[in-house]
Amino acid sequence: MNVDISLNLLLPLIWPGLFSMLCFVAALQPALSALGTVFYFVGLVFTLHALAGLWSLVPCEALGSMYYDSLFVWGGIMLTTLFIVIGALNVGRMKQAERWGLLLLVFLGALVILAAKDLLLLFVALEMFFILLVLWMAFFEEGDHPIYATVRLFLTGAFAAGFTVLGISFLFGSAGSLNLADIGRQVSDAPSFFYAFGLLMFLVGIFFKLSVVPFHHWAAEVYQDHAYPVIAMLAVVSKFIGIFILMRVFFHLPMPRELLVGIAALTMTVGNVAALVQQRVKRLLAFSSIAHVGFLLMALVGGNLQGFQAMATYLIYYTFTFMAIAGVLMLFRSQEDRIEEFDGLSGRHPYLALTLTVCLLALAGIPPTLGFIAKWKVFEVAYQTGQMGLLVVAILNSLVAAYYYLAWIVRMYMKQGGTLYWPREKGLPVLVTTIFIMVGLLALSVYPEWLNQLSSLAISNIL
Amino acid sequence: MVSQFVPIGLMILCAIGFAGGTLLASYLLGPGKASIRKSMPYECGLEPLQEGRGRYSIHFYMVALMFIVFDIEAAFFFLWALVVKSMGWFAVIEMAVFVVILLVAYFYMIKKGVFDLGMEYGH
Amino acid sequence: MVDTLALTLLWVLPLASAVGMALWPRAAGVRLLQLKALGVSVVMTGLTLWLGPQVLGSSSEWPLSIQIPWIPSFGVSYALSLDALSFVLILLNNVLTLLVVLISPLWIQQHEKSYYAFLFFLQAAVNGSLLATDLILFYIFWEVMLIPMAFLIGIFGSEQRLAAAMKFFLYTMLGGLTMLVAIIGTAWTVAGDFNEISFAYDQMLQFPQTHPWAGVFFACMALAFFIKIPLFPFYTWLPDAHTEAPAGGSVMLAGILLKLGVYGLIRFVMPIYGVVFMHSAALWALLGTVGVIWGGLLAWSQKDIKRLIACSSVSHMGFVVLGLFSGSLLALRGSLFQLIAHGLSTGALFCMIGIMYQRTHSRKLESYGGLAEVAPQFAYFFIFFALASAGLPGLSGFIGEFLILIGSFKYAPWLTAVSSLGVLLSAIYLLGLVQGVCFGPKKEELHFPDLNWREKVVLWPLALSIVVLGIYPTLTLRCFDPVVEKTSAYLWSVPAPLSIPEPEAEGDINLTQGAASKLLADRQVAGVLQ
Repeated sequence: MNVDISLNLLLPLIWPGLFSMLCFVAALQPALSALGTVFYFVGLVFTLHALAGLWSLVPCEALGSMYYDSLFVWGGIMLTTLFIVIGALNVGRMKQAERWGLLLLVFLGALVILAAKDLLLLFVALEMFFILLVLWMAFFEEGDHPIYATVRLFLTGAFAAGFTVLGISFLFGSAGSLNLADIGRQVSDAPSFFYAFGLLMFLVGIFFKLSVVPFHHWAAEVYQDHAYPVIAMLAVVSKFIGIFILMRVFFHLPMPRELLVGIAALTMTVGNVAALVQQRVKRLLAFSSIAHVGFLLMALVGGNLQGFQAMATYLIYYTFTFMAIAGVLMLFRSQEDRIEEFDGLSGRHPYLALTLTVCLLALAGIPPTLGFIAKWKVFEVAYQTGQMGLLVVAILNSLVAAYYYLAWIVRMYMKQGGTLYWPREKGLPVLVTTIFIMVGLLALSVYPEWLNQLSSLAISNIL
Repeated sequence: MVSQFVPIGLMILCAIGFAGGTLLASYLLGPGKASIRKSMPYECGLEPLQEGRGRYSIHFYMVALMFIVFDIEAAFFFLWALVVKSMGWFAVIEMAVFVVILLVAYFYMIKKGVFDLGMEYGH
Repeated sequence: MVDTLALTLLWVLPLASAVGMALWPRAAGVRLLQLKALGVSVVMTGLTLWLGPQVLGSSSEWPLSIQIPWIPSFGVSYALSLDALSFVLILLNNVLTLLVVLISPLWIQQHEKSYYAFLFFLQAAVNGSLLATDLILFYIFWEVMLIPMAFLIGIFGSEQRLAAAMKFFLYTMLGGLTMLVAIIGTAWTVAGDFNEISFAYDQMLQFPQTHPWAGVFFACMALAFFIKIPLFPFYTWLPDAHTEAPAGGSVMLAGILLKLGVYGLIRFVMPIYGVVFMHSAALWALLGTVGVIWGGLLAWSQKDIKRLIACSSVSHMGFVVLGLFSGSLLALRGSLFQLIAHGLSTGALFCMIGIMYQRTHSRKLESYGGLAEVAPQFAYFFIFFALASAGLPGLSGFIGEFLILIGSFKYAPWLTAVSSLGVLLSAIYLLGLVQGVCFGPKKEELHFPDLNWREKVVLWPLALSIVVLGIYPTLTLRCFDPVVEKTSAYLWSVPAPLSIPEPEAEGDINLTQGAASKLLADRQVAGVLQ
């Protein structure tokens, strides 16, 4: 047996693992537990370096079942950056070194997912990501009922995992292989009933994780009881990974486009309409993130490289904008997490209100924010694939979305009497992180050519 | 393709038929007179002593988890032993890494007091 | 280089000063803030006037024009151009902003920082959208315009301001989104499967006008402008927005924002979708006529002065739409003239209402009466602007409406006949307004001081320009000559539809015909190449 092994290919996976072990070791001595934070960031920076080193090597295979292509390296770099941001938002909050170690392991699981084209590896990585995520979540004491929400997520996710495994076994049964490319080749001429059933079950599992309508019920319940770092994790990283899996699957497997069109239209409509009537900020964010997944799926409908690029653009915009919003919201001390508390915020904290306004306008897709560029690219994909019905649904949805984002802005600037405030003694790391993100987003929206270069890297060399 | 699954289908049908048939038969043939004793959980003819949901010490689950982890490790070793000759040094290093990771976890558990069972048994 | 700088400054300068206003330290005092705002708007007006001779004296299609790649891979360039049409509207915008800045210290006593910031932000966005000749760039400016206007309504408006701001924003955003789809579709149709995508205006003009999707794109893009104008069934946001907006916001809204809808039709919709435009012209002219009558009836029934003027805008803009779609060049001239005339007269009327509201805090018609006795100077101006708006001969409003009516009579006699009733209606409600406010029994409890110097400084230029335009309309009409030429060249270069004949052989249109045939030849060559 000949194992082609190159350390360069493994380094992006070795660093997070190694440093998470160091975190756990540091956790044994109370005096050392502050080192966990350091190990976390050093590990991620090393990973970033290792991933950047992969550009010259793609596309290639590693360990037989992992595929390193531009999509993986791009996604890996994005993911590392997102984890750095999440870590930065949590500096000073997460005291125990174990929590940092767990977060690194969550990252490792997510990273493997991006490269996995073997369904078994995909499933193992997905579960590693998910179970460790649940563990990490359970440490949080902020939020209304964090443990309750964590258990809820765990049960839902475990339920969804059952569907995924069922789907994988049927796919294996119908094609005789676990490799996505092989399955695609096998079934391309005559998809059987078992293939269709397997694919459907597999997708149902992924849809649960992505909280796509009609599998979205858990999202708002979990979000509303949990802390903002967890919300950012679920709304950004979890969706990022789910979308990546879908992208991989769509790239290789034949699949009815109508299903996706229907799901996309349903998701954005239900998400937006439900967000319209929410009174609690966290629930509103939950439904708004669901609606954004609908838009992401709309880009996926294209199924071609242009669609992938639009999706990459949308991901860059959505993930970082959401992170910035989570950062701003983390700063505030809220009584009941009700949206009325934002009334008149611009008088109390003009700069924070401005930041939030810019982010909300971005989420509403109003120029000149990045949200507009992302929406424009997604519309373009829908137009070019001839999905006019979906386009009309998307336009109406943009209006609905603009309504509730705008209503929020109206609260901050045009009403009085809210109680939300920022206790200035805490939150410096969060503030600095948010400023960094905002500067980045601003630079991209002033010169979107950079955005194009970033997103076209993703599709430069797909395997 | 579908014909390959006929035996499985038949088997499922048989299973459902047997289980369902038995239940149906006992429902039809039995006298069906309910009494308190009959409605109780079946405990080998004895009366139940306590609630069904007794609480165990968390250590019970801990030990169970440890057992499974190290059990799987052992299973992994068997497979490794089969190929270690043909794979050479690479496999040895690989297993060394694996064992080191497990050792870190093991020391972590010791330090966290997972194996300090004695105190709990005092109760 | 000078072009680049000048054109960029037209939108960057107000934007920069908006940011400057927002960051202005509170301790520096309001007085300095107002002076700074005044300074900026004087500079802006001066800059525009300085560009005037270059633009109006030039015979080229785009006297000033720049094009720099901005997002090359998406086909978007930073393309700004100035021609007579955009120049005149930019001048109108900057002058109105100057006047509003001048009079605002009387009206706005709190949150001055954000007021001026949003005002300049609005000015920047309007100038930008008048300059942009890249469709995506235009779309960005067009949508950005909503933000400051919605804030002006929402922060400084009256009781129902929040609902009005939301309605305004969402209504106009709907049009914007459909326009985005039209832009994407048109650009990709032009690019085809092989060419590089480009959203530049020149590129969009290559759109094959008989393309099966042309009707859809036309409807999608025109919807944005119809909502903004507003054309008859899409007008419902306007009365609310006007009524609730602060006086300065109303002046800007009526004076320039509504005109941008017409600008969009002339600049983008007519040239790009000429065939559909001409084929469906009858319908839009009909809607314009309905708007004239409907707006007039609405205005007649209002008890709220501000709402009355807002509804009269619907009526007057209906005339403009009728003129645009009647297919007559004369009416087109009239429409263009009416843009300026209506901007001035309605802007002035909203100023008057602002002055009244500042004194009495009432917009109800019944709380006024006999002001001619109490405040004679105020009454002079009020009557003057009302008559200008009603189209009194000798004042600017008359020229526009008259040109529209005589121009379109030849092609749409029935619609024109019905529309001319609108002139009658406007006389009825405006004279009723004058009667109610200036004459009649004096309200005893009404404390109404006469105009102060600041108000006079603002009102005199408006009144004078209305007189000058009314007596010597050629001044403006000549500015529009190149625009009319260009537009007619686009329209009559396309295969002529059945309903609308060739332009009449007026003396000054001969040139146009020449341009048309040249353009037609160009297009045919382009068509063969495709």
